[in-house]
Amino acid sequence: MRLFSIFSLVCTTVLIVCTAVFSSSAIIIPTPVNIPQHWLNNNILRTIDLTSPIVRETTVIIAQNVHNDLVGEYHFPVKEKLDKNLAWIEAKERKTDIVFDVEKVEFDSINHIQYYKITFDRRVEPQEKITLIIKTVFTHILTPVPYEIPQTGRQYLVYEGSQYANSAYLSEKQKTNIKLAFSTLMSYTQRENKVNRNEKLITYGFYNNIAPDAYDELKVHYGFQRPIFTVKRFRRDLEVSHWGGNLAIEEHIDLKHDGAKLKGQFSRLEYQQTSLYGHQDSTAARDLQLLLPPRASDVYYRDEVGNVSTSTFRNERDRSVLDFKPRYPLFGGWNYTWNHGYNVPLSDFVRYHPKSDRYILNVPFLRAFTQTMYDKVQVRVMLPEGAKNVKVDIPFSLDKLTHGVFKTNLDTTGRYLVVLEKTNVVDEHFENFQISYTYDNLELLRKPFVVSGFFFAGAPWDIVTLAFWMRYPNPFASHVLSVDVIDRHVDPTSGMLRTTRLILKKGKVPSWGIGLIRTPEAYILEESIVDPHTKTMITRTKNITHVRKMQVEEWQTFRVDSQNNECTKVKIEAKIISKFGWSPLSERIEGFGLKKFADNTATSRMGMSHVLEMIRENQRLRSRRGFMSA
Amino acid sequence: MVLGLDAQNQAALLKVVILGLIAAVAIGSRLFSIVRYESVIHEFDPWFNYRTTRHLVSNGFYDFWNWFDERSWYPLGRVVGGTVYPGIMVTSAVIHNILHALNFPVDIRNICVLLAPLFSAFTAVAAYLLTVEIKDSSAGLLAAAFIGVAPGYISRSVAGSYDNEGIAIFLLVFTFYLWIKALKLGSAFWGAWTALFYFYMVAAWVPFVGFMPTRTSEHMAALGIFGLLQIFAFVELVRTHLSTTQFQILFRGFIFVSFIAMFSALVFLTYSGYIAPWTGRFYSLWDTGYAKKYIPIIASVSEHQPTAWPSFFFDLEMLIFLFPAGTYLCFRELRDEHVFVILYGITASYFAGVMVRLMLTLTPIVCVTSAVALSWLLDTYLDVSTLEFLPEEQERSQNSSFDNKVPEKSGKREKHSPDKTKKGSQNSSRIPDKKKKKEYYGILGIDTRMIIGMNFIFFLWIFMWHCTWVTSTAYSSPSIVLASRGADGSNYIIDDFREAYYWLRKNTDYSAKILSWWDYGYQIAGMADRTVLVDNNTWNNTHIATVGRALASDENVAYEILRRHDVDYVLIIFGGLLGYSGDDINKFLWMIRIAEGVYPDEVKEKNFFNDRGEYRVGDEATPTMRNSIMYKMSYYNYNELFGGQATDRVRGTRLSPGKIKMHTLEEAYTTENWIVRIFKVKDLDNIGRTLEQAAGFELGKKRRRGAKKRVGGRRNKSS
Repeated sequence: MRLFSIFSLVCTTVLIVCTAVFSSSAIIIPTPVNIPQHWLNNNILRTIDLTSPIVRETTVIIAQNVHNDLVGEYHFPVKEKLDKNLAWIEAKERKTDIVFDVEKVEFDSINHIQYYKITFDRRVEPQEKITLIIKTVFTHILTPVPYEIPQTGRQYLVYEGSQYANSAYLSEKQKTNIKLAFSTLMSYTQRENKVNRNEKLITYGFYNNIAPDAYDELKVHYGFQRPIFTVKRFRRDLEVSHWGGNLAIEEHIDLKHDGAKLKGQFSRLEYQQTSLYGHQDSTAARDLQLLLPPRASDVYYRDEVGNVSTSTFRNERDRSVLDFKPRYPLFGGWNYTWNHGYNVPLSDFVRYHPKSDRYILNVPFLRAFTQTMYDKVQVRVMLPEGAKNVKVDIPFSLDKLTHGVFKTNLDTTGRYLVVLEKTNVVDEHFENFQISYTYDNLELLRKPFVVSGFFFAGAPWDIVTLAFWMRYPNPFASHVLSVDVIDRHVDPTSGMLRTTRLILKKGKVPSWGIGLIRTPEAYILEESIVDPHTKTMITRTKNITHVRKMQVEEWQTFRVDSQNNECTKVKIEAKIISKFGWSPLSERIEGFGLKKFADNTATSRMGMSHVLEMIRENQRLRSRRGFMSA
Repeated sequence: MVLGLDAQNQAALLKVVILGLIAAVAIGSRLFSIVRYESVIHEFDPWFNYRTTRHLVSNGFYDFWNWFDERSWYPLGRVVGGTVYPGIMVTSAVIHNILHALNFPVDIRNICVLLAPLFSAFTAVAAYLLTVEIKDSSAGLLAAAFIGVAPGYISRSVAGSYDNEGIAIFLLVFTFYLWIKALKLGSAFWGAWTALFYFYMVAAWVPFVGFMPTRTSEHMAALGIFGLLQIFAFVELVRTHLSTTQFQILFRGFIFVSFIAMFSALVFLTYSGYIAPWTGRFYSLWDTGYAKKYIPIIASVSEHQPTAWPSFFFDLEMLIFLFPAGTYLCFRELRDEHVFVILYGITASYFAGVMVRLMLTLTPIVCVTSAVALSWLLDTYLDVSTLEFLPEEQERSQNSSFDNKVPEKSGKREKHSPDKTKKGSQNSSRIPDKKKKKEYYGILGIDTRMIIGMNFIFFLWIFMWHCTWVTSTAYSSPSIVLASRGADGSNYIIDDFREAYYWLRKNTDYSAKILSWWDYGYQIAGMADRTVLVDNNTWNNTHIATVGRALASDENVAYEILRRHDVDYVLIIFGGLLGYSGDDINKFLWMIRIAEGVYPDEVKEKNFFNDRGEYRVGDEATPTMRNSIMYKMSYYNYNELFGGQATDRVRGTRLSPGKIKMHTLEEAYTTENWIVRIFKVKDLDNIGRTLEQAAGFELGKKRRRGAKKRVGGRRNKSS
């Protein structure tokens, strides 16, 4: 038995080695990168912050220009292995606090080093010194050892790195501090006279005259008795509503406890017994807390199987707090998925900028758990129907930014949708971003209505358009007093016929509206374009009197039906706007207009049909006459 | 003239308004569970309907039709498309698609939750229409009001109870209405609508009809009637062509021959297997004890139990008293529709007595007949037109007080049909002739009217109160969420089921197989999204018996069964800590009975009863019981929770002290209140020992370590 297992072990190892060899043979031609040695690091102080599952390295470098010319850039190396875990890199000058541009540049495939180029705001004189603070943030670089612990076991993490700070230049003197959250420590790399430990702080150094890219292993195995959260996917939906003055936020979260896995199975008994002592021995997450904006309301907390009742919510002066319990305590390796949502007053997040006539939405990119790794974040912003000229302004780079349309709640044209996507997000990205857009206030009052679309069956397009010109007078339109052609011409380039007509109508005013409108007559302007090539006729009619009370704008499109050439398809759209401001009267006027409009389309269609019938009769007579004369 | 309408239009408007209000009340009173808990699917079967509806909505109709669900009845699978009742799913999918076409994004769950209340509003309207055909619109309004709130119907149609009955009752009532309409008018138009709605009802209530009407015994009577109609038509045809004497001879001969031929054909077909014999569920309709003896799986379902007397009153309240009166009144008129009502009423009341579940089909007809009875009563006592007589009567009574009582008494004795009374009174009121007036006999005394009127208003008030109370207390619990009150009166929600299902959903392998008793199959499939061995569609008794056998066996036997079925987790319900009585130990006897039906040698019910013939847990439990994995899983670690000896709060028994040891199963998850316990089936030992040996080895190792300590302790003591 044992022999067999050893044999199989050997086989597997051979197999692994083989695959490793084969895969490495596929590497592209290695290219060394030579960084010009323009700098000398006088002193480096590096701090590695291991107090959270996200590792933050802050490197303070006093660098001296040893070149004989002005130098405006500094290269900073990051090991290839770590580069994919790099969530954030930032460089600034200590004295002025100016943040410099950081750019990903060459990759050294021999030494597996990725270089970042820091460009200063100025060029540094020869022999001049500059003090830089470079901050790098890494996710997923800590490994729990042992990788499985019992329910009440202690969790230990291993950090692996170099004893020396990342540098592409020679360093005269350097030191590394490692900060821990707890004082429990299993082991750490020793080095004679160079390593000091003081409770939660380990110091390596000073080291003198360290070559560029020098490496000596640094390994810290330390206790970390807290859950380690990874959010696999985070979706944040923001829905802007100018109607309700409301910003609705919904967030979908896939959370995983990425710490040491639970060994064996979960025992409720043990869990309940340890709860008496406050669960100090467990890394399980039992309660979660979310901080929401101050005036959040209508909070809900649900998951895929329904509402979760174990949550409390309170509004405080400068924030709101949502405390909730997952359905089950979250042990290492366990997942939990849920969504929650709330409303906040729009005025807290949207400002109107009168000079540019734009609205500016200013919201955090993310606002959730801190010290948590977000693998994939998607923020979807739904601007109201009618928002135009949308601009997005975000302080860091995104993976993907898309503009689209989203339809909901009886929308006709759909809302403007902006989708922002980013992977590997950490606390440093919890910054506000801005979306500015124009939005006509009248859009609030506008209700575009596709009122009807219908066919004139058996009536070809040319006859229907002819009938359109001849539709007045007809017995169903006794209210039309006169029709005059003001302007008519054929566009020489496109060959389209453009016509403008003025129609005088006698309108009926509702009893509550008599005081508003003195003259019951209304002038209506009718503009039309006939395109003989595509056989399309588009007309627009709108009233030019009583505009202040109510403006009716009607668009009609006549097209040949795609299925049957003998039929004509008519689409009617109408907008009814009352500019009486916010008063209830305007709504009433609009309502009246809509109702009237619906009634009127029916009668106008009857009128059209009547005229059509007359044209047909005429044609029949004419053809018969032609037959007789022949 | 109110609102510029004449009397007729006013009445019509009033009817519409009243019907609208009734519909609103019908919907409103079904929303208790949403207000109190949340918008969630209830119980067990609705979870399957919900799951299939979601599948239909996301994958389209053809995919749904051809859906083979490999995630239930492992390893057999289930042909869903051919075995579901598609009516309800298609209805909600159509509603969903219409709303989404209008860019109105309503979650399919909310549509499913609110479907039954919506259709109960339609049912009220249908009941109105049906009753109008039987009596008049005032009876119709009463019937609509009754069915809107009758608990017998609400029990199956509260928000969240997404089951076939939710729409089937509406379709039933509406089909009957259309049928009566067709019968009355003899119109093919109504006939066609009847057929259409009958089809819809069948789609909602019967799975996969196919050739069943010609192949099963249950349908033979209906088929026979259909054949009889053909023969009748044929006879009528022959009669027109023959003389009377010839016809007589032919007719007798024909009847004799055809009877013999058909009966023998039936017997032959039944024996040769072309026609399926009566099914067990059918037998149990005639003999309530049948199921318990022969098919325990049917008897194990609580809704298949015979109805207890109080539940008639509980579900129908005063309607149950008005029901016979209404039936009697139908006898008095006895037109075609009344015959229908009487037949429906009598058969439905028999079946409602046999099976609790069939109370549902009784409710509509009870509402209709009670409405007829009550409306007749009100017509008689509240007829306003007769008030005109009163001054006259009083004048006369001044002359002789003796005369006063005569017409009243005679009125009571003389029973007019309501229609006649009305017509008579209207006629008489219009013609100002004293002689005509004297011909009227009715109830005239204000006091009598008052007593009856007030009484019935009181009864109706009590009825409404009762219905609301029953709905709120008995029928509005989703049963997957339990509520309890804390000591300070605060509401405390017990959400253990979803806790466990969600844990399974998120933290087990997607292809994990879960073994549980069939009750929880649909819920696991719907909420945990994991493969189950058996579920609430109890089509394969053997498979269910296998599950029962696994749970009733000792660890070694059970492990073999579990391994053979690739089971990863075993899920059981344990109410002992909380006092939740619907747990698996209480259902265990049924599992044993069902298992014994298939495996009579392996599982024996009598082994679970102790010497005194009692089914007990704790000290008095039999060894077989104590060794069954169900017992072990239920009480695993339970004693330790109380530090030695625990009490089972459901059965009120103290358990025997001592630790329960298991070597083939390990606790994977237990919910907050211990209601759901999930156990993982251990994998085979890595070095080929039996699990018992492995567990013993582990234990030995631990014991040795512990023993050292203990030895040390003793030394300390002794020294």
